Amino acid sequence: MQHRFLGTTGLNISVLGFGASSLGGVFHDVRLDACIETVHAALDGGINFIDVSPAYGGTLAELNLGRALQGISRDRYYLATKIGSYSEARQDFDYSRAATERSIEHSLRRLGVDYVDLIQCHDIEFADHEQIVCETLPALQRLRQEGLVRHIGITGLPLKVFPSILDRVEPGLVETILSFCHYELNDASLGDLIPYLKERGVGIINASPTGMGLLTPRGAPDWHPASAAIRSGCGRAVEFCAKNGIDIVRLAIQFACANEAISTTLVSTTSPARIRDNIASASLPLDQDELQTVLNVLKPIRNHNFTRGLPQHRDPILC
Amino acid sequence: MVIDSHHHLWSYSASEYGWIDDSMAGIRRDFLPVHFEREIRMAGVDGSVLVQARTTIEETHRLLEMAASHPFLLGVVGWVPLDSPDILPCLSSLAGTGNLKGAREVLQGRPEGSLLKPAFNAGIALLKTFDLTYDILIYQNQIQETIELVDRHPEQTFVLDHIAKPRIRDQSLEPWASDLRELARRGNVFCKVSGMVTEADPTSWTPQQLQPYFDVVLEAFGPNRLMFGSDWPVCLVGTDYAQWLGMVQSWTAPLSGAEQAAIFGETAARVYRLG
Repeated sequence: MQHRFLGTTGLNISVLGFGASSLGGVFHDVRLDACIETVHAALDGGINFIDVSPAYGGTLAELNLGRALQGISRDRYYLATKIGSYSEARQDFDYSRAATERSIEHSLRRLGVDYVDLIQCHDIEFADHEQIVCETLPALQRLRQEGLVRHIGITGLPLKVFPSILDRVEPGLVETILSFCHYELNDASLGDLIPYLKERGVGIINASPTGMGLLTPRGAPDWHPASAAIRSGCGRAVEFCAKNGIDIVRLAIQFACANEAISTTLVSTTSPARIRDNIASASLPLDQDELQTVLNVLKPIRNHNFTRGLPQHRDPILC
Repeated sequence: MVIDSHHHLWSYSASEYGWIDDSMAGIRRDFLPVHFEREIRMAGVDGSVLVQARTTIEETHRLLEMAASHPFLLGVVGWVPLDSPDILPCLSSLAGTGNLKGAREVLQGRPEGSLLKPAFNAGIALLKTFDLTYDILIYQNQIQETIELVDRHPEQTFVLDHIAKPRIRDQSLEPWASDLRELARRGNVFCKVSGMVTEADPTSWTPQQLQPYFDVVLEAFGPNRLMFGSDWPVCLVGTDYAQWLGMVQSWTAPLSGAEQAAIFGETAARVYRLG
């Protein structure tokens, strides 16, 4: 398993990371034994970076992850969780100091650890960035002083939320960003932001190389925010790959992991077989010709996006 | 666990340690594991990373033997001829022993362009396959070239020795501070807080002269990429083990417990894969 440094945090993380959202039943119902087996298979396969949030499954993902990590030596993995977004369905966002401190205390308890390596402001397109800069981040700094969290990051869907915060804080305060659905076969627009992030020494975490299911034979779940055009465009690529004997999930992972500026790409599953497959995919060299044929099929919808959040944080739509 | 990330051990001979000149006459003697163990026990340090002094394979073998017989020697940074055509079999045989954690050569004072030579870079590129770090021993005027080197190997762990040896006795922070900050922006570079008294005037230095240099290093690298090192016995030319440790402890006292723990052991344990 290849490793890369996460910005200037000093953390040397596996290029494939484990996203624990599946453990909360976000994509489909889960069983605890499958969760445990999958997390163990991930760690045994060389993954050393695990990302989760209290929002996934209404704390269920953290609870299941905590059970899976029982008995595992703390130095075998770097653990990241989040604060601020508790339920998008209920519009339950709270980036206040009190909610942040409470959430971290509860997350540590659910996860069964004394500290997390990375704490992230979750989906900040739903936040008032004045509050993030003046209240949330200082609260996280204090928790870092106390040793409950080691590093601080931000996450979000629209790409503009990252400069919105990074331009307003002192260098080194926000050490990582987590972006999703913007570095995959159909949408690699995160690439435009990479020079800006590298300039600031900010580590880059990319999530969901399959676009939360868009680039899988199973397709995206019902709640997926992508337009019908994006769904069908990706569906055409899935069909093309099936017809031509190309494993589209393997290709999606290879594509995401190939960019050396991205420290890790997160995949999420509750199937031990699938995580082993994904790990194997990450170590296979990328065939540029194969990649080009699939990118051609996706060309009509390339970088077409979807967005969300408060009006001032939404990206312009390309469609 | 408190870890000293940088020290040496030797059986002194004038022929092998010609670099120890008259001004350092006090260290022209044997410094063996038993001597070091006494120092660290008194200082409350639990273990260490033993670093090459002589530039021979024989030195590397001897250091590995010492580490194998003394559990407090947690890891070895040995000498290897990185630009040699035989470097691959050399690394293969040394890496098998388990105690070799990193490689170092004496890069300080090498002619301009040395760090960018193809053979040297080919050797650096091999280190990762053996899970080996590379300790960078340079003078401050070599930082820019070092930046080019580390950028060529973004997945290789580099550890900067002695904060790149700024000329503390001249009491000038620039251009060292700007160069160091630029180097520190590379996430694959870590830094040892070591060897600072040696760069000051060993006979007349003060903590106040040294502290501004520490402040730059702390701000540039952050606690999670810093590690305390004694550079014993070389440090004895101007200080002693307890005094140097106490000084770094006083500089880091304002930091949080977790940050101090990082500087005094956790960073070293993680970077050098100790225990």
